Amino acid sequence: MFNENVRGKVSIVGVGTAGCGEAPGHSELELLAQATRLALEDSGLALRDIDGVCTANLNNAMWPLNVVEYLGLRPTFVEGTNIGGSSFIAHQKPAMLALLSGQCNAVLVCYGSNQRTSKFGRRERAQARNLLDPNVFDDPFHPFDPPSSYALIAARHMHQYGTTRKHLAEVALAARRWAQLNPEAFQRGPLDMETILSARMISDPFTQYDCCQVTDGAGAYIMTRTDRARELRQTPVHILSNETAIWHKGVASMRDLTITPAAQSGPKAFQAAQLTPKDIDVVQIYDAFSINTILALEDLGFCKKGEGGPFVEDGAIGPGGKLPVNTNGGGLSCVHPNMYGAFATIEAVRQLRGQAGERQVQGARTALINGNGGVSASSQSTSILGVSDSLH
Amino acid sequence: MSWIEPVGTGEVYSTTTVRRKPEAGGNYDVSIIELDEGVRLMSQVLGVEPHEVKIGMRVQLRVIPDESGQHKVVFYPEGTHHVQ
Repeated sequence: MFNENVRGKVSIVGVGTAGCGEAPGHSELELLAQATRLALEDSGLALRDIDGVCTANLNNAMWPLNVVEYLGLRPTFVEGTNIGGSSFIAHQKPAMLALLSGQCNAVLVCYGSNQRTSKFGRRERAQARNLLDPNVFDDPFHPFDPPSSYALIAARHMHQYGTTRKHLAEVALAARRWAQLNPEAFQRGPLDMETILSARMISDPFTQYDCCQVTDGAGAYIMTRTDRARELRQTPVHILSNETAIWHKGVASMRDLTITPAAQSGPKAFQAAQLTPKDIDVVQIYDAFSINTILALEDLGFCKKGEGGPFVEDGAIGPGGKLPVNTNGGGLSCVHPNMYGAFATIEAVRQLRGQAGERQVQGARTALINGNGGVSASSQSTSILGVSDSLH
Repeated sequence: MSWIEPVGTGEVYSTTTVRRKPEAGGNYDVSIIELDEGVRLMSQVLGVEPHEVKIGMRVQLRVIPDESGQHKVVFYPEGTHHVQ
């Protein structure tokens, strides 16, 4: 009942990205602020209109304070939950509730990272995290995480369902083909099946092509109630539903390595949106690793469990395929500054507005975004977005 | 919920070989072991080359000292004899 009442009542009205790829010399806050400025310009709102903030970050325990101070805001709503890279999708439902209750009127969801070019990069943070957040059961065995945990998931999926390295490579190839159509993507060079299959292993069965990039980048988007959205600069993109599920932290605690919490968040999101997978025109899946796309397509119901490998064969999720997935190039080929959830959302909005240039999916009216968080698909957040005529 | 004392046998539920340069110590195994009592844990299979560890392989628990003077639970293929 509640979900029916909020369906489409909140919209995304502005999006911005900055520093995608390499942004040397910029702090995380500077990149976040640049993306925020672009999202505001896109929407027609001013910074003083923002009275809600959703944000998270891997280095700072009280990151919303950093952001609020730097942007000079006085918000009446703050959401700083950090469940990994899915956070910036999982922030949507709390923001919807705050907007619809009148607690605030315009929510900024924002993220920035300089992990590629910063002196304190990925390696240094991994060392610090081992001290701050040790896992006494896993650490003695030195998994090279996150790749090793997702590699264990992929190996089990291959064992149970006959999924092959070629299936995984199809995911990476599709992402690259989309990226080649996206001027903002960081990896746009040629790539073929043979290159992937003959590449050096990192953590079997993964090569570098199965793993998301390490880039800088910032993403920001702005949400308002839909009645206000209709008076702003852009075609509003309505949030039809957002559902989040969290089942575990480490890979050894998964009850079934081949089933992620998207098997819970996905069906709930479809039910709340009153749509089915057949109704979705474009899909943005957080592809931290090639196996993530296959797992999500299964768990969300685009195919049956175990059939994700065959589903992606023959370029089926690339440009011109039967289901457009990760049309910006995804975390594998477009941008991956640690946490990708905001970027999946922003690409869905650009597609639904018809502003995606060469990679535009013609006539896209509905989009699904699925966030992935933690080092073993620990949290999943699914949203379904649509343009106005999808509300009926 | 209750305590159970495992007998120490199980099988490899999933496995990956972490690739590392020889000068840094070489490749090593990281596996998830499912004990016969039904619980799983992350561990390492020793006594065979990392790439020879396969899902479904029967393994036997052993406690060995780790680098920091603590102890850790590792596994060897069932029925194999090995030299410490």
